[in-house]
Amino acid sequence: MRHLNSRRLLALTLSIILLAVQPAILSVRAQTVVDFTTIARATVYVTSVYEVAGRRVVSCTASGTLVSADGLILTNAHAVVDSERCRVDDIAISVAVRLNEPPVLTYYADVVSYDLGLDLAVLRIARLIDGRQVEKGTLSLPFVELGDSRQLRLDDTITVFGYEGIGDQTVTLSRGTIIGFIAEARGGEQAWLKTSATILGPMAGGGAYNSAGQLIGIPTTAPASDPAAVLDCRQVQDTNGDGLVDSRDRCIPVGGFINALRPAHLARGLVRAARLGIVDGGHIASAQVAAAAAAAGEPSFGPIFFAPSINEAGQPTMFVTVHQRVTARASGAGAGACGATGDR
Amino acid sequence: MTAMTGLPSRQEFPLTRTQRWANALTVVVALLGLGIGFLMKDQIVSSTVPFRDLAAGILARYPQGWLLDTAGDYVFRVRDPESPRFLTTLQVQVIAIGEDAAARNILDDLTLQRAQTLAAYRVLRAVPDTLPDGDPTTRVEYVYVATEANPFLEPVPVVVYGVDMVTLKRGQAIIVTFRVEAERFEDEAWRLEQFLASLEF
Repeated sequence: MRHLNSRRLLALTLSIILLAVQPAILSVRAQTVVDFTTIARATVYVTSVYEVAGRRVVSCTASGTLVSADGLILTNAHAVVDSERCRVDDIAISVAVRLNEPPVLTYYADVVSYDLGLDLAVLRIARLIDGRQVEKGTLSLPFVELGDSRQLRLDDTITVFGYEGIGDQTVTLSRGTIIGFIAEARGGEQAWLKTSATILGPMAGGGAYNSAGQLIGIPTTAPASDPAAVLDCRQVQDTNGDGLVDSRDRCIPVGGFINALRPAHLARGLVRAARLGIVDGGHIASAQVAAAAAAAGEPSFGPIFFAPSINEAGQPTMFVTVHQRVTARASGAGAGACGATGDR
Repeated sequence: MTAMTGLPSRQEFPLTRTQRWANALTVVVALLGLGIGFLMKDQIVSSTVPFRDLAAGILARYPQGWLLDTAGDYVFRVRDPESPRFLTTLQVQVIAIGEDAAARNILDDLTLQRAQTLAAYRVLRAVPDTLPDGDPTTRVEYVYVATEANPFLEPVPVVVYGVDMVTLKRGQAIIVTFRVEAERFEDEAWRLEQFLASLEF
């Protein structure tokens, strides 16, 4: 009887131990099922090109991430939206068919929606590299799932994927932790995620993933207030057709190091709009609101942000204060260095 | 045994020494003829003629009988006039590059330009390789569909298999291109190897 009791006691003890360690075992299992191969395949290389005398020349590059099987790509806006720094006639997409080889130019994509303030853009693969249209429903590409970046906590481990150079580099990963959050007028308390991961300039637009393999951030270069402040630039092509590659040729900006990520939750709206086929909806809506207000002869304002200066994207460089309801007279009186943004 | 088959056995009519020599010599001569024939065929097929462009600093040997062309945006191009459907082509092109350029940048540039003119152009792979002289290079394999522009010839499009060897040297990219009808690539690939072995730049 005493022997039986000791057996029962042993079984009970083992059961308690098993129950205690089960969550840890499950957690380890959850971590091991992250498919980094799919993430690497879903990481694309984005090349903006423009035409000079019938010749296509590269102007900007970035990394990007496929967020749907039918070819939606999330990347940085500064590399795909036409600007003084980055001329864009077309956007070419390189795909890493073999992960041990550099990606190969395969498609052209169109910008579906973008936000220069957040520096995020969603592209849709539209044509093959030879110009033929991609038939709807024929693409079945590897893609990643958007995670909830608001659940991130300090010291959470993240893995960043992207292309670390404009040369022969293959897709690369870098691991680090979340070391801080930065608030911003439009992005809220977690407008930026600071990370300890080493992220090189060309990895901008790629993806940062949580331990479940969900996309939680986009490595992003904060828009510089000085348009001339190009961090690093590489001359690789004869863009002016004079047979030489020198300082008169246009260079490809590669940026410096990045230690900030745009949280994926700020991209959800853009991705959703792209999925629904709403092209550049936010900008059109803002323009329509402004036009209607102008027609009525009344000024119309959304939230007013006060900041010492604005960057090239028209966004405040530093958040000072915000007023949800401001009359035209009051805003006019308070105008020193202020940037007003449309209501989204 | 003789009675059964009706044929005289070798023991009954043995060959003379002269006959035996004649037999052996016949075999030897036939084999020699075959060997010499093969050698001559091989020599004719693989015979080459030199090409020299001192301005571009290119020395090479291309197959004899191929048509030489130096009028395009390349150093030179030779084509096999006897190829049945698509003229097998060897071409050398030199382009200026920046000091930061990598083979991948050249490849992207080629892809962007070619995709505008070659139907169904698609790069299959790009892998590091080594030239016969030990120089590092990048081997790019691609396919496209060649179509005859003249509709009166009622042509059937041909799938072309191409190989580019992209070598970066002295601020230039030297691109050796080999194009052949896809079905004949395996049989003709040696021509690229032979050409690369003779190439100096």
